[in-house]
Amino acid sequence: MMFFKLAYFDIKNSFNLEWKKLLVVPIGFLTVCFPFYLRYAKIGAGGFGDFWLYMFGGIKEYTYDDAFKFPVIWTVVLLYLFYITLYYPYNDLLGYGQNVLIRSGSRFNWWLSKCLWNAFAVVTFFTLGAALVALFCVFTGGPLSTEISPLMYTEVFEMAADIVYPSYTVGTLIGMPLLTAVAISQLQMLLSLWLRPIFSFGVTAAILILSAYYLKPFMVGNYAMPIRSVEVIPNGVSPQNGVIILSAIIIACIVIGGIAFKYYDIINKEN
Amino acid sequence: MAKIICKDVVKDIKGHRVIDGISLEMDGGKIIGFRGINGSGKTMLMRLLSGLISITEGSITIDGKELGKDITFPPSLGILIENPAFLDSYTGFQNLKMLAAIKGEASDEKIAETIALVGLDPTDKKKYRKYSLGMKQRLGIAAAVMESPEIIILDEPSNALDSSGVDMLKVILQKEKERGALIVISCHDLAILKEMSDEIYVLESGKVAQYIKEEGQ
Repeated sequence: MMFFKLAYFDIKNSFNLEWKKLLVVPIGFLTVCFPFYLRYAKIGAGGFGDFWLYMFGGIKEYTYDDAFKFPVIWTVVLLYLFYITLYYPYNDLLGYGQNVLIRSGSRFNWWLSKCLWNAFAVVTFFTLGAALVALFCVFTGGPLSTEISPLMYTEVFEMAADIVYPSYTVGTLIGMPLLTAVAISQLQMLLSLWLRPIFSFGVTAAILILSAYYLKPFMVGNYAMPIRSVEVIPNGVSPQNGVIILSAIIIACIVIGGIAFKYYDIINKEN
Repeated sequence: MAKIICKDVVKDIKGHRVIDGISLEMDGGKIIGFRGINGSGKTMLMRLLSGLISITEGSITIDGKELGKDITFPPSLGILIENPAFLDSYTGFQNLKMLAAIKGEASDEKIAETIALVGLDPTDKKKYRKYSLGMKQRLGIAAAVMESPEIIILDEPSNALDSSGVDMLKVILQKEKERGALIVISCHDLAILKEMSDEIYVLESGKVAQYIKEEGQ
């Protein structure tokens, strides 16, 4: 019962404190969608799946024969999400949250509530993003399906033209980036127990950049790039393995954080 | 009535000893004052008593239960440590109501009564962000006492209060003491501390340097 009270408090309180950051989401998504529409509608791209892949597709595998291209949109969208979830737990713990924590009587419940809040914030971000993309499709007359236009791979992501690329399932296109974002966001929150939030944000950014550079199963950012799925390229990452690895990260963050927070000194790191 | 026993309490932070072997006993129905210069360990001791930080060595028992082992936090505790922290976009009443909802021990009437007791208007629609420093401090005191806890820990409660605020504080603390609460306060002003406290511990470099028992309190 106490846990649900804490979870309700966190969702309500964080929305009160962080709602301004959510205002940027529609602006950001539309800023990406609109130029994409102007540029690629002529090649038949413009459905929900195309827009979504443009934002969350990532970048094709880097090989030493090519120059490394930084996946700007993918990185900025995800980093903004991780920025949204960065400060609330830390600030709460040094302010009003101390009174909440003491009244709750349980450090583990407090941590668990923050984990739930964190996942809820990521899901909210993706839901808001999906709703905005869908709305954009409605206005531009694009289909509301997760089908990918064939030319997306070759024209937008500059992938080889001699391969037949698949249409995505919702799981690969939306589910894997969502699960990856939940895992990385939990990891970022866990690290903030020991590091200042800005440094844990730096670690998050490093994970994304290294993942863009190395296509390896343990570079978890790859699971958030649907065009690096094994369903698309033979040496891609397996969504099944991804689900196992990412779920393990999430569970480890909950357990390690719960144990660490039991002995954690609630004191301003700045002092 | 609550009883706190600190036995050889040591706290190290990043290799620096901030509390160095403090042993003392505090009983309910009393006001225990702590005094010391900045860095003497007052706030750290209050955080230790609150369960917000863990003990490096020694023990703190509250009514026979060891803090950090048998209990995570004192079960009936109100605190104001360092600066009051509330939600900017809520009124004073809304802030306290949200806190009270966690334990469900303070009714709306009790919250309103406590806000009035600290000299604020419970019907005031002003958001917390527009409060003056003194109003914020008063609300912090109200949050600490609204659920009639057995232990009340107040770190520099007279900060930002004018003379009428200090008088209000004295009245509230006296009332809570008569109810049987154990009140732990720190204050840099020895005159105020002496006026309010039954016992005073002077801290220096994390140790008790002096113990003063006020007669006739």
